[in-house]
This record gives sequence, structure tokens and C-alpha cells, in this order.
Amino acid sequence: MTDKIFQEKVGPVALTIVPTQKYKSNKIVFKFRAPLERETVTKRALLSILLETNSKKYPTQTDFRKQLANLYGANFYTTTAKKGNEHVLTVIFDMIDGQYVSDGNHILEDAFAFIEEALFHPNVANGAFNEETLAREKENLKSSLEGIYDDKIRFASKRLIEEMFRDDAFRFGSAGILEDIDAITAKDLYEYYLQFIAEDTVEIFICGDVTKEEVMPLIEKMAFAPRADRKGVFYTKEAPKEVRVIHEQQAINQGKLVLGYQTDTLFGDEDFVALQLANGLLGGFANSKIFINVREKASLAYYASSRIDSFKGYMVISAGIDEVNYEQALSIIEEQVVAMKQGDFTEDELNQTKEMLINQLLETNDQAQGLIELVYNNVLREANLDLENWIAKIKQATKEEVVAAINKIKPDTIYFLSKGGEELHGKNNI
Amino acid sequence: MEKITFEQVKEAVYHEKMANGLQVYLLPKQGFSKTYAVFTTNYGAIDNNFVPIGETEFTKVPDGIAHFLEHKMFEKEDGDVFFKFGEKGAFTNAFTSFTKTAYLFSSTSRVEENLETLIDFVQEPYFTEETVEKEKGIIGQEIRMYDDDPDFRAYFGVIENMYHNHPVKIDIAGTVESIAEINKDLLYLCYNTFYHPSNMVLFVVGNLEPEQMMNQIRANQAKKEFAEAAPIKRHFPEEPKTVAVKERKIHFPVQIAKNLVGIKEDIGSLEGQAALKQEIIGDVALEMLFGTTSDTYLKLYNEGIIDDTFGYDYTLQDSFSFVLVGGDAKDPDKQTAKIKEAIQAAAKSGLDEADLALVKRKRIGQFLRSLNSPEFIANQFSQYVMKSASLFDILPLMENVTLEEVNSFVKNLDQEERTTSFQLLPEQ
Repeated sequence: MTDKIFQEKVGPVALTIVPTQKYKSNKIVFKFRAPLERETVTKRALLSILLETNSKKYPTQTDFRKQLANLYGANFYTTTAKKGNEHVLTVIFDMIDGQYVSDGNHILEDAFAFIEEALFHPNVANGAFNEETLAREKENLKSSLEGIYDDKIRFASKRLIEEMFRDDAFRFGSAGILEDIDAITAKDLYEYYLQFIAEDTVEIFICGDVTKEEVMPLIEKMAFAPRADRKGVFYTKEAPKEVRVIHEQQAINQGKLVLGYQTDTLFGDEDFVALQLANGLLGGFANSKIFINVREKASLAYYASSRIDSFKGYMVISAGIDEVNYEQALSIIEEQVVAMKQGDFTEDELNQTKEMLINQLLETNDQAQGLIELVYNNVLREANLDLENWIAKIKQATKEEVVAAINKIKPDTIYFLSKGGEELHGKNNI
Repeated sequence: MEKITFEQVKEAVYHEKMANGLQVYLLPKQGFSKTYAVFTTNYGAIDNNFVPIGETEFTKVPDGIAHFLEHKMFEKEDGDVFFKFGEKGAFTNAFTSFTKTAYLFSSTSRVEENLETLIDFVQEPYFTEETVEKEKGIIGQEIRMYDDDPDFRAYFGVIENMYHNHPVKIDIAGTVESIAEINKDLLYLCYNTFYHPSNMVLFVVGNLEPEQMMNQIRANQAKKEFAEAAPIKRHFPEEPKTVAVKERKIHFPVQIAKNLVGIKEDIGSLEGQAALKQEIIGDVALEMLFGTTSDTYLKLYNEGIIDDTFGYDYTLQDSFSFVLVGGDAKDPDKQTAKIKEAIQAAAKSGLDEADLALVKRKRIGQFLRSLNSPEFIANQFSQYVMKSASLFDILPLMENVTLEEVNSFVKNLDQEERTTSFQLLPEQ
């Protein structure tokens, strides 16, 4: 069913190859991780931008991008993400397979040469990053963080996370902290870069029509220093004794309601698959309880759904509603959670959700990025949920297990962003 | 059933036109787990004035009805189609654009049953007054969600600026007021006119066996009866060549201004290969002008006038075409001025041959990579079929783009009276 993967240590870094001929391209992914901390998160965010902007050999972003265009429009970019209390900086290189173009013989070597240049030879002089580049990218990062305010759905989820995890580093976004940007100098950042490249835990993934014989020498050539193995930091937070309710106001048309729960279940845990199924039944799919009752029956919302974060162990339910319908929407949602806890769903509904979940998993099998993330999640949690195993677990899960998993969830925070009409004022505000 | 092979991209498509006029395309993808099917009608938000099937006079229908119809197709006498797909582990969705409405599913098992569900639900409408009324609340919330979305507001803001009369200027979902006028009879009127098989394309890609699947589709279509196919008469109002509004600024709860420059094209109506060719020339010219490898991009980026949200878009349809350029802006007036300057300069001195070669190389690689996505292939192929062109012709056409062609495209953009700007500014 799935392609056979190859995993091996190459010096201090771990390599995974997912060999397959079904794509027209090869995807090369480097994942760097370190603990999520205020001290480093903004530096890492800036670093991720600088690494995809220019380098010593390609000192302007046009030089840099021209080389990528030359490599048949290869895509090179970085992202940042949180996996529990790990900060993951991902470097992605995506490029056409050599067989589809006339001069494609050296394409893999060229790709690695470019990545090596970008990672190990940043645009640095006299022990500091290029001042001009850094100044500009600091401004761009500020704009991008300020821009979260402009996307109200995203803004509301961000506020919920800040409130739910206000005593935990998880409250910081992986893209850095606005107030911390100004203080970072070109010298500070270079010093941090040296630490990053020497100490981060590195995992490399390659998906495409490649062999380990081709790839391993290319990785061995890279100057990764020896480093200690470090396990990831994953823990769940306890829910507060009393649910916190927070209402905030902005001049918007539609109210954004987000509810946060603590789940106490992480990827690879015994009851992880059961919680996934519970989430599917509750609000994960278009035939879930929340979608049907909030949208289809009561016509209160266009979007209404739930999702779980299985590296931090929380669940979020969100819906876009008219402010006047706040109480009604909230009580319908809460009723659905209670119904789930009481096991108010049929075997048929459970089977349907199993089918949907299996389908979703098999679809990730068709995307190189999906395959890579799947392997990485298992690496992080030292779990054994490859597709086959995962699907088998879904099939075996019983109604009792699903009910037990959802009974572990505890409400933490209710956040509502709206224009603030009369109905809400003075009520529930804390 | 004919087999069309595309050597260069190592793909083959199986095609057949059914007796009722439905165009069917099947593309097997080796090694893929999933099958993706999209059933598209050549009917979208702009088709609001037409001669209903079997009638002789033009009728005007409420704004947003094509999108409303798309929502309502999912509800049947025996419940929601979402469930039917869900039971068989399939994911389903639909979307409405200016000119098309498409229904889709993807699944990794029970493909035959899911395909049957897709074809049948799109070909068997069921509307009641009660369910139509209930949908107004849901779509009302969809409209409000977009009202809060600054990128969406900027996009429609600049289109409103460009067009005096053409219905492309109307929001695809309509307004809370316009959808209030929709009833079941109007939905049937639109449905019967535009969902005739001869106005539709079915495309399936992925893990499939072409002969067997084509047999299934033939049998399904043979069971159903449709009115005689007739060409659809659509009416679009007279549209001046100039823009309706030269410049507009509105305030919005955003932190960073959104800026878009719109240029309405004056190229008349193009069809088939000519339209596809024009689209490719436009894309190459704009990438040379404003892409990440252009001198303009570097200069404006370094000066802080643009950031990585900066981009362009070229939309080419039968009855309208336009270019959009812009992004987030610290100084939107300056960004607009610089965009216009770059176009003027390029129109005067022409673009560079080496840049053309580089951009072509980049685009060829990107196009080949996009063929990893079954969704991309199915959606794009269907759209091009309706323009009487083929997706896989992009590659040879791209290779043959000349400097003269891109220069003439750019010259045609340098027209003050066809250019407008729209800005979404932070509240004071």
C-alpha cells in the first residue's frame, strides 16, 4: 500500500528517503528543531526569512531567485511551526525530476549545492548578517505579524491560544514576537545562527525517484557538526477550574467564536486514534454534529468545525456567527459536546467517520509533503503510526474508546470577537 | 473512446462525447491512492441575463443565484449529499467562479459508487421553498465572512472600479438583499438552462481503469432523458473600454494597506488556442515585469515599497479580461506610481531576451511540477475544454513565446484610461 521508506543516520543528522516514481518532481526537506522559548523564537523566525532571501554567492534576492529559475523553476522556501513545545524551522526544496527536461542530468547535485549554499553560507560579513537585508526583513516580519490582525478568523484563534496558554511558551507564535524584533542586531542574529546550525536537531527527508546511493554522499559533504541527540518536549496543560470567557471588540461584520478545550491526548498515545474519531464525529467533517446542528439545522453559520492539536493536546471549536446569536450558538455547541460525552452517536456514524478518516490518511499518501509530515510526526513522538498501522487502529477502535477519549476533554477558554452590540455588553465580560 | 497521449509529460487522457453532449475525460495516474472527479458546468456568477431553455425572451435573475444553486444542489429529498459521500469515505465540495460551477469528490475506495453519486446528484435537482429559505441564513453568513476579509474586499474593489456594467463587478455570492429574491422556480429556471449535459464536462483522474469507468458513465447517462440541446443565449451589457472609476480608497479595520492596480484589457473575444496563447503570453510578460527575478521587484522590495505579498494576476475570459498588480503597501500611492512607471518604461524600451528565456525555463518546470496534483489537472483541464483548448498545449505554446509577443502585451497595458487603482487603508 505504501512506498518502502529508508531511514539512516548520516553523521549527526537523520535521513529518510521515500522512494517513489509517481511524481514529476523531487522534494527535499530539512527540519531543524529546538525548544520553543521567548529568547530564541523571534531570532529563529528572522533566520528562516533570511535563509530564503539571499546568500554569500547570491547576495540579492534576485540573484538567488534567478538561480532557482535556472534550475527549472525550483521552489525553495522556509516555514516555521510549533510541534508541542518544539520550534521547527523547515527548509523545503522542490524541483522537477531530471527525466522530464533535456539537460536534467545534474539536477540532484545542483539542488544540494543550492541548499548547501543557502544553509551554510549566509550573507554574512565581519561576524554579522548583512545589515541592509536584516533591516528590511525585520520590517517585513513586523508587517506580516501585524497582518494577523487583518485576518479575523486567524486573529481570533491566535488570541485564544494566547489566553489558553498564557503561562506557557506555547503562547508564542512560531513566526516570532512583534515587540522583540527591534532589539535583534545583525551580530546577535549571526551568533544565534552559529548556535542554530551547530546544535539544532536535524532531520532530512527526500521524496522522489532517488536512491540512497545518490543522496548519501551529497549529505555527507555538508558540514553538519556532531551534536547531542535531543528528545522533543511534549506535555499537555491542565484545564482551569473555571472556564474563562473573553469578549473582545473590533469593527467587524461577523462574530468569530472560538472555544478551547484541553484534551490530555497526544499523537501516538493509546487513545489518540479514539480522540481523532471523536473529533471527526463532533466537528471534523461536514457530516459532524457541529456542522449539522449549527449550520444545517439552525442556519447560524457558514463555517463551524472542530480540530485537535495532537502535539500540544488541545481542541478548538470555531464558528462565524452573527453577534446576536452568540448565546444560541454557544449552547448548541455545548450540547453537541455533552451528546458526544454521553455516547449519543450510532455505530453507523462512527463507521462513516472511520471511512472519512481513512480516506483522509490515504490522500496524504499522494502528496510528498504529506508523506514527509507523517514520518516526521512519528519521529518526534517516537511513535509507530505508519499508514498501515494507523488505519488498522482506526478500524479496531470501539465506541467505548471514543466515548472515553472525549470524556477526557475539559473546557478551558471561550473567546468571542465581535463588533460589540448592546446584547453582549456587561454580560459575560471579564 | 479516444486516447490522447502527451509524450512530453508522460500522460494520457481518454475522451468521449456522450450522446447527450456531455464531454467525459479520464486520466489514469499510476501509483496514486486517490481518485478525484470534477463535474463542471459552463455557468457562473456573470451569467445573470439569458434566454431560458425552451423560451425566446431574455430573463434577468438575482445576483448570486449561480452560487446559491451550487449550495442547494447538495440537498435532496432523502437528505444531504454530504452524508452519502461520507458513508463511502469520500470528501466532497463545490465552487462557483465568474464563469463556472464545479462539483467534486475525492476518495481512495468505493470510487464507482462515489462517481455514481456525483453524477446523479448534479443531474437530479430537488428544491423546495422551505429549504431555499433556510439556505439564505447560511449564505448570509458566508457573505459576512467575506465582508470581513480584506484581500477579498480589495479584489472586488478594484474590479468594481474597472467595470461600468459588466456583471463581473458583482460579488459571486451576491448580497443579503439580492439572495432574498431567490426562490425555487428561479433555481429550476437556471438549472434547466445551464446544467444541460451539452454544457458540462466530467473529468476523473487518479487510480482508475478507463474502459470500465467509461462504461459506467455511458450506462448512467443512457438511463436519463434531457431536453434537446440548444446553444445558450447570454446577454452582457455594453461595456466601455475605459475604467468606471480611476481611483478609490476606502478605510477598513486593517493594520497594513492593501493596494491593487487594475488594467482592463482591450483585446476583444478570443477562443481556443488563441485564448490559451494570449493567457501564456500575459503570464510570461507579467512574470518578466513583476516576478521575483525582475529588476523592478528587487528595486521596489529593497526600497520597502513592496513585500512578499506583492504579485500579479491575469484573468482572461470570453467577455472580459484584466490584469491586477499589487499587494500590501506601507505607502500605497507610491506603490501604484511605481507599478505604472514600470509598465511605461517596459512599454517604451521593451523587455529583455535573456529574461524571457529564464522565465520560460522557470514556468516550464513549475508547470510540470503542478502535474503532481490530480486536482490541478482535473480543474484546469476542464476549464480549458470549455474554452476549446487543451491544458497540455501549455508546454509547446510556452516554449514558442517570442519577445515580440510579450512586448506587444506590455504595450497594450500602458493605457491610462484603462487603468485604475484601489486601496484599502487602515482606519485613522
